[in-house]
Amino acid sequence: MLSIKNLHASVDGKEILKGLTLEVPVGQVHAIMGPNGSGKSTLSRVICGHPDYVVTEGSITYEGVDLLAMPIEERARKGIFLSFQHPVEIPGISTAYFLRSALNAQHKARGEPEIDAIDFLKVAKEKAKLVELPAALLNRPLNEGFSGGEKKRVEIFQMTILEPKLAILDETDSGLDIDALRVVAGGINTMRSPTRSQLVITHHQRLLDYIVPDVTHVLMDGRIVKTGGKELAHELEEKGYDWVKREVAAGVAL
Amino acid sequence: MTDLITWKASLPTPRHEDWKYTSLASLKQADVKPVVVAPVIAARGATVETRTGDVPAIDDVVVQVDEHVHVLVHEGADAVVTIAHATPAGALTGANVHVHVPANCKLHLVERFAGNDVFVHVPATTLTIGAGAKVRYVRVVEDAPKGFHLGTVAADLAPDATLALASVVLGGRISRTRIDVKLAKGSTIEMDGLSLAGKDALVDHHTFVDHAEPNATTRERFRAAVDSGGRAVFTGKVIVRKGAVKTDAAQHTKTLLLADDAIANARPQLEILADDVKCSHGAAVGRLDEEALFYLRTRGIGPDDARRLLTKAFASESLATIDDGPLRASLDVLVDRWLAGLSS
Ligand SMILES: Nc1ncnc2c1ncn2[C@@H]1O[C@H](COP(=O)(O)OP(=O)(O)OP(=O)(O)O)[C@@H](O)[C@H]1O
Ligand SMILES: [Mg+2]
Repeated sequence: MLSIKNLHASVDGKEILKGLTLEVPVGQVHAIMGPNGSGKSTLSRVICGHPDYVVTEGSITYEGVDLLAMPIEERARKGIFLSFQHPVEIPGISTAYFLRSALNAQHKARGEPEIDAIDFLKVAKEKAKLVELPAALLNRPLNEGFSGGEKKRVEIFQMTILEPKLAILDETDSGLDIDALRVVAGGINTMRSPTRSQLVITHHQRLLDYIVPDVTHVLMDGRIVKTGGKELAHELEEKGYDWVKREVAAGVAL
Repeated sequence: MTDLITWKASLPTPRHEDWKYTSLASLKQADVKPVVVAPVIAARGATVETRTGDVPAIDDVVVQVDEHVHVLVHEGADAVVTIAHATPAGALTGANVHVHVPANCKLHLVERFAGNDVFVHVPATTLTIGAGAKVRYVRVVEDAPKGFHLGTVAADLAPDATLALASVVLGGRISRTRIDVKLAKGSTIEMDGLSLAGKDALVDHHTFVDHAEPNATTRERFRAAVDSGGRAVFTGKVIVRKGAVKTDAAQHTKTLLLADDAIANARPQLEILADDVKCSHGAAVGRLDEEALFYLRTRGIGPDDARRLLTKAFASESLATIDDGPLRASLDVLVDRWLAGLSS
C-alpha cells in the first residue's frame, strides 16, 4: 500500500529525514516508535504533503503511484488520513459543518453523491457514539477550547467518518486518560480491515496493547533503524532507546 | 431635494482627515439623478410617521430630503422593526429615519440596504434611546459591485441604556458607514462590525464614541476580510471627556488580507481627558493560517474551498452575537455569495 524508499526531507534547510525506508503492505498495522525529535511527525507530514517540507531524495509510492507528485487534498481523496499530533483549532466553523464539507469534497472528487446535513448528522451521531464523543461537541467550533483528549477523540471520529485506506495516527494516545485510551483504541480498531492499513506513531506500548501491530519500527535520527514484531514495543518500554542506539553504532540493528 | 452639481462639489476629498483613505473620486463620475425612495418599514410595537422640515442630525456626507420618517416605539413595548431600503439603478437617494425608543423599552431593529447597478445611497439613521432601554440594531449593507453607500448612524443614549449594534457590510464599489454614539451615565454600546471588501471594493467603518459622562462602557469589535485590489478602512475614535470617570472602553480590530494587493488601514484614535478610566485597543492584520489550510486540505478540501471555509469561519465569528435565527441564516447566505465571488 505504502512504499517509502531512501526518503530525505528538510525543513528550513535542515535535513530531518535522512534516508528513510519503510514498507506498509495492505491490511497491516505498523507501529513507529522513536525518541523526541527523531522525525516521526515530519514523516507523517511529508506523507500528507505539507508545503514546508522539501523532499530532496527518495520516493513515496501509494497504491503504486507516485505520492510526491500529488497535491495534499488529492492524497486525502485517494484515502490517506492523518490524525494530527496537534490538531488545529478553527473558531467560527462547527465541527459538524467542517466534517461534512470534508466528506462532500471527497465524495465529489470520487464522483459519489453528496450528503445533506440531515443524513450527515445521522451518520455523525452514530460514529460519535463509537468514540463516546458527546453529540453537543459537533455543534461547537472545531477544536476550539476542546481538551487535549477531546481533540484526539475528534481526530479519530473524523477518521471513522472519512473511512481512509491508509490512516496515520501521530501520537493519538498522548493526552488521553486510561478510559479514553481504551475507547479511542476501540474506534481505531473498527477501521482495521484486510483492505486498510494503519501507521501508528506512539511513545507508549500501552496503546499497542489495544492496537496490536503486525510490525514495529524504531525511527531514530531520520531513519528506520530497527524493525521487529509486536514484542519490540515491550522491549523498548523496558530498556529505552539506548540499547538500540548502541546496536546501531555497532552496526547490528535492523 | 439635493442639487446634484452642488452636492457632488461639496463631497470631501482625501485631504480631509476623516476621508484620508476613502477617495470619492469614482463617485463623482457616477451617472445618477436625485430621486426620493421611501424605505419599506414593518413595525410591531411602534408607529411610523412622516414629518417634513427636519434637518440631518450628523455632520457628514448627507443628502437633503424633505420628508423624514419617524419610528416611534410605544411606551413599555418590546418592539420589532425592520426597515428595508432598495435603491434603483441610477438613483442618488437617502432616506432619513429617526427611531425613538422611550425609557425602559426593548427594540429589535433590523435595517437592510440593497441596490441595483450604479447608485449612490446616502441614508441617515438616528436613534434616540431612553433611560434603561435596550436596543438591538443590526444593519446590513448588501453587496452591489457598482454601488456607492455612504450611510450614517447617530445614536444618543440616555443613562443606563444599552445599544448592541452589528454592522455587516458586504461591499459595493465604496461603502462607508459612519457611526456616532453619545453615551450618558451608565450606558453601554456594543459594536460588532464586519467589512467584507471583495475585488476592488472599498469598505470603510468610521466610528466615534463620545463618553461624556461617568460609568459608561464601550465594546467595539470590528473585523474585515479583503480580496485582491480591495481595501478595508477602520477609524475608531473614542473620546473620554473630562469627568467621564470609570469609563470602560475596549476596541479591537482584526483584518484578514486575502491577496498580496489587498489593503487595510486601521486607525484607533483614543482621546482620554478623564482620570480613573479603563481603555484598551488592539489592531491585528494577518493572512489565513497556513497550518489551518494544511489541516483542511489533509481532509480532502481543495485549496480554494479551504481558503473560503477559513474566511467564512473568520466572518462567522463576527456574526456570533446575532441570535435571531432567520436573520443569521440570511446573513450566512450573503456571506457565502460574497465568498463565491472571491478572486481565488
Ligand atoms: N519548521 C522547522 N524548522 C526547523 N526545525 C524543525 C521544523 N519543524 C520540525 N523541526 C525539527 O525537526 C525535528 C523532528 O521533528 P518531529 O516533529 O518530526 O519529531 P518527532 O519525532 O515527531 O518528535 P516528538 O516525539 O517530540 O513528537 C525536530 O528536531 C524539530 O525541531
Ligand atoms: Mg511528533
